[in-house]
Amino acid sequence: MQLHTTTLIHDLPLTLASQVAEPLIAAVDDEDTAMPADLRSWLVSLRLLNGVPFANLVADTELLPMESIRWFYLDRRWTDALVQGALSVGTVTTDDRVDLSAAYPAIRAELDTEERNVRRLAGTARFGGQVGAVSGFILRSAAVAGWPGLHVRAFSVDPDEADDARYADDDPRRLRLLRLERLAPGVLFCLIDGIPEVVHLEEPRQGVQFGVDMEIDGSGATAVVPPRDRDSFEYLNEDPVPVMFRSLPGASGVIDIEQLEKDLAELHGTGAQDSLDSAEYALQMIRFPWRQVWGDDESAQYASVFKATVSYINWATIAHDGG
Amino acid sequence: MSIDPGHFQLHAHLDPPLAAGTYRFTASHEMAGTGANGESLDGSDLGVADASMHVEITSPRYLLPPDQVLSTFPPAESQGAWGSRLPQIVIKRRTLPWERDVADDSTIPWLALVVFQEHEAELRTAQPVAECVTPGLTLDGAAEVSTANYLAISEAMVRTIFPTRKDVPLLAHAREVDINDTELMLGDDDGFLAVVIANRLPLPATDPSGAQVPTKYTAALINLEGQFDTLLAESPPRQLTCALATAPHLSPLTVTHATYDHVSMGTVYNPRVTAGGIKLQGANLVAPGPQAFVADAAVTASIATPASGAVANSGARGWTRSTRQTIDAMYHATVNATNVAGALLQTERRFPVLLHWSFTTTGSLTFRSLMEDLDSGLLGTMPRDPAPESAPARPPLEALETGHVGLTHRTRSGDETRAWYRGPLLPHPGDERADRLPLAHASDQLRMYVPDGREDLSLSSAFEIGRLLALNTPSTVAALLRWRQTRYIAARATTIWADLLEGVLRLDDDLTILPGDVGYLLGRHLAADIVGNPVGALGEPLQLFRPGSVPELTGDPVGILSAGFGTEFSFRGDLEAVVLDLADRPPVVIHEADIGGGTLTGLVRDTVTPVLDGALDLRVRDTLVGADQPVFGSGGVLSSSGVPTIILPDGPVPLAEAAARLRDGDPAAREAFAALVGDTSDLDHAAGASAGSTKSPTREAP
Repeated sequence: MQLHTTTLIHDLPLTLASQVAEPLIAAVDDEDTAMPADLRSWLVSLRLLNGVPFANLVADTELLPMESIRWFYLDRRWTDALVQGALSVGTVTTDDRVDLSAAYPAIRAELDTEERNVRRLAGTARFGGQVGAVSGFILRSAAVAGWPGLHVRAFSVDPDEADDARYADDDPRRLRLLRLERLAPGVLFCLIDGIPEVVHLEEPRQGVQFGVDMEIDGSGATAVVPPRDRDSFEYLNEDPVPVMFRSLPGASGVIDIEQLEKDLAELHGTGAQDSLDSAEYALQMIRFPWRQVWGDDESAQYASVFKATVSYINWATIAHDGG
Repeated sequence: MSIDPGHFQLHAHLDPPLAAGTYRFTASHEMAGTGANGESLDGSDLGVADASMHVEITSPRYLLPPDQVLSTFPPAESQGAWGSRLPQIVIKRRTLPWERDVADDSTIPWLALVVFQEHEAELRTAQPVAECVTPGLTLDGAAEVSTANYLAISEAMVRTIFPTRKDVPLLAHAREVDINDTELMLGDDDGFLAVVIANRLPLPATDPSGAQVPTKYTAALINLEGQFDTLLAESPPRQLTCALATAPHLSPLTVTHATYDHVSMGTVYNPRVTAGGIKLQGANLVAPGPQAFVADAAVTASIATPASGAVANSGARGWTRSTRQTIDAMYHATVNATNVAGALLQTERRFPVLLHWSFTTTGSLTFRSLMEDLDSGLLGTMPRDPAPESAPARPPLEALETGHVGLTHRTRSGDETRAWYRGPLLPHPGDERADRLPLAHASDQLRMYVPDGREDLSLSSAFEIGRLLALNTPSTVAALLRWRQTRYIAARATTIWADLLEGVLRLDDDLTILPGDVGYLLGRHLAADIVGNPVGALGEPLQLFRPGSVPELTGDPVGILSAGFGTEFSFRGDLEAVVLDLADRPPVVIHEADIGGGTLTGLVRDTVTPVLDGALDLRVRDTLVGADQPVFGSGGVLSSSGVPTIILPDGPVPLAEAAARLRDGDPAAREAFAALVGDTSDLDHAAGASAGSTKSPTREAP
C-alpha cells in the first residue's frame, strides 16, 4: 500500500478522534449513542431491577414481615454487576472481552445518565448528569392490595407547608420516582432518584368520595362523621356525629340517613336545622384521601432503627473462629 | 357565577325545563278589530284555527347511555377496602335524576343507586322491556330500548336495603365545577354534573370463624318510577353498631343411609319422618336470612319424576337412579324447596336497571389505620413480632449490620455450607466516592471471601442474574450480538491503522508508540512546540499599538496646503490673499518657520519654489527687493544697504534687477544664480517663469 506520510499525519487526529466512543446525551430517545437504543433501554430497566427475582431483592421473608415498610439504599455495585452479567452474554473469545472492556466505561456512563430519564414525562426536558444515590422502599401491606394506585411523593427537603398541602407535579422540591411498581398484589416497590427527607403515601384520589370514618371491631362496625360547616366547609369544633345503621337482619351497612339528619340538626352550622337537603348531605359525607407522611424521626437512634441479629463484634468472633 | 379551580359547588337539585314525557303544544291566535260599518269584531268573526304540535321529551329510562357516565366509584371490577366509602355514580346530564316524576314532587329523583350482595337480589339481563317492571305495572310512554336489565328483589329485601322515601331526595345532588379543573370535570362539557350516592356502605362479610372475607357487591342504578311507594316511608329501627353479614358458605349436604336408600330406590320418603337425620345446611346457599324449610310438595314432586333414561333397574323394585343422580335430586329438592318457600313468602319486585357494576370489598381496614400501624424500618430490621416457630428446622435469621444475610449454600462439589448474601437494597448509604466495580467477565470473578471464611456471593449472584435475564430475552441477545458486530468493524479499522502507523511513528529504535498513544503524543508534542517557539508556530504577536505612517506630500503642494494637510483645519479662504499677506510680512517668518527638518536648499528647490514662483508672478519680487531686512538671513545674499543684492560680474546688483536680467537671458546673471543655487535647471525654469533668481540666495557666493 502506498502511504503518503503528510496526508497520513494530517488525517491522523481526525481518524483517531472519530474512533473514541464518547458518551453522548441523546437529544431524542431513539438516537444511537454508545450503544443501540433498544439495548440501552433494556439495560436501564435492568439497572432498575426489572426482572430480578424477588428472593434476590429480599433474601429472607423475615426481612419483610406483613404490614411493614422497609426503606433502603440501592447498591450501585450490585446493579453494575447485574449489567456486567448481561453484557457478558456472547463474549466467547478473548477478543470479545477486550472489546467489551474498552467499551464498558462509556456504557456505564451512559446508563448512569439514562437511568434518570426512564420515567421522564413525554415532552419534558431530559435530565443530564448522573444518578447519585438511589433509595427507595418496599411496602408490604394490605393497603397496597386494597387501594390500587397509591400516590407516592418524595421530597428532597421537608416542605414548609402543612402536611395536607397540595403540591404541583413539577415542584422543584420533589424527587423523581425511578420505579413504582407492584411486585405482588400486596407488595409495592419504589425507587427514588436521591435520598428523600420526606415521603408521602396517599390514598388514591378518584374524584370526590363520600363516606364515613369507620372502625370495625370484631364483627361489628361503627362509623362517625365529623360535622362540617355548611358555608365554609371547615370542620366544626364538635365531636364527630355517630352514624346509625338499620337494625334489620341482612341490612348490613345501610345508613339511617334520617337519624343522621336529626343528629346534625342539633349542631349549629351544618345546615340541617332547616331540614337537610341533598347538597348539604353530600357536603357532610365528602371524605378526603388520607396522606401518610414519612419523615426523619430525629429521636430515633441508628441502633433502634436497624437491629442486626449478628453485630459486628459477634461477626468478628465468628470470623476469628472460622479462620 | 364562576367556580374557582379546585373548588366546586353543590346544588340540591336542578330542575329540567320540562320533565320527560309527551307534550302537545297548542298555538292559538285571537284577533279583534273594527268592521266596515263600525261594529267591533271579535274572535268569533275573525276565527284563526289553533295550531297543535306534538313534542316528546326523551330521557333515558331503561338504559343509561355509556357516554352519560362520567365515573363510578368504587371502580368496576375492582377489589379494595371500600367498606367506609359510599358507592356513587357521576352522570354527565345534570338534570337527569329529576327528569321524571315519581311522587308528584319535582325535587324527588326517580333514580336511586342500590348496593346488594349476590344472594340478596338477582340481576336479570337482556329481558324484554315490558317485563322489566313488576308484573301488573306499566310505565306510560315509549321505551328507548327493546330489551333492558332489571333487578328482581323480594319486597322484604326492598325494605331492608333500599333507601326510604325520605332518603331518596338526599341521595342525588348536582355538582358545579370549574370547567378548567380536569380532575373534577371528569370529561364533562359544561361543568355541571349529577351525582347519585348509595345509601349503603359495602361492608365486608365474615365467615363462621369471624374473619372478614372478600365480599362481592353489585351497584345498580334503578328506576323508581311507579314503585316509589314500595319503599319504606320512614327508616326502621336503628342501631349504633352494624353487625357484619355472614358470608354465604358452602357446607356438605349430609343424608342418612336410610334417606339415601329411599331416594335411590325411588320410594316416597317423608322428610318429617327423617328430619332428625337430614341436615340441610345447604340452605345457606340461597338465602342466609330466612330459615329454610322444606316443602313436602316440592320434594315429592321432584322425586316422583324420575329422570328419563336413567332408570337402572325398572323391572323390579330396585334402583331407579345412579348415585350421582340421587345426590343431584336431593340437592335440587332442597334448593327448590327454599325457592318455593321464598316465592310463597315474599313478593318479587322488579326495578329497571339503568346501569350496574360490581366490585369486591376486602377487609375492614382503613388506609389510615394500615398506614399508622405499619412497621417501618430500614431493610434488615427484624420484625416487631417474631415469626412463630412454625418451622423449627429453619435456623434463625442471620442479618448483619452491613445488610448481609446468611443463607444455605450448596457448592458445586455438593457441600452444604453457609454463605453471605446481600441484595441490591442496602440498609445504609452506599459509598458514592468509592471506585466503581471493575468489569468482570464471569461471575466467579465476583465471588469474595470474607474474613470469617464464608463466601460472599452477592455480586456474583447479581452477575448471574443479569446474564440469565439477558439470555431469557432473545431480542436482547440478538441486539448484543448485532452491536458487537458493528463494534468489531470499528475495532478492525483501529487494528489496520495500528499496523500502518507502526513504521511511521517509530521515534527511536527502543521507543515504539502504541496506536492508542498517537493522539496523546501528537497533542503533547504540538503543545511543546507551541510553547518552545511561539513565533515560529503561531507568528509574531500583535503589537499593542502602531505608530501612524508618515504622510507623503504628493501632488500639488498648494492644494495640499489649502486642504490643511488633510486635517480638519483645511483652509477655505483666499489663498492668494494669504500668500500676499505672507509676502508683506518680514521675511523672518519664512526663515524661522519650522519646515520639518529639511535643508533650506532642498526646501527652496522642492517645495517653496512654486510658491515663490507664484509670488514673483504676482510682483512680489518688488516687495522683496524693497524690504529692509535681508531676505534669507546671514546665509543669503546680503547687501550692506540692506537691499537684497546679488553679486554679478559687474558688481553688486539688486536682486530684482539681477532677476530681471536673468529673465532677459543675461548669462552673467545666470551664472551668478547658478553659483548660488548649484542647479541651472531651476534657473532655466525660473527664468522661463520669470522668477529664478529670487529664491536662491541661500549660499554665500564663493
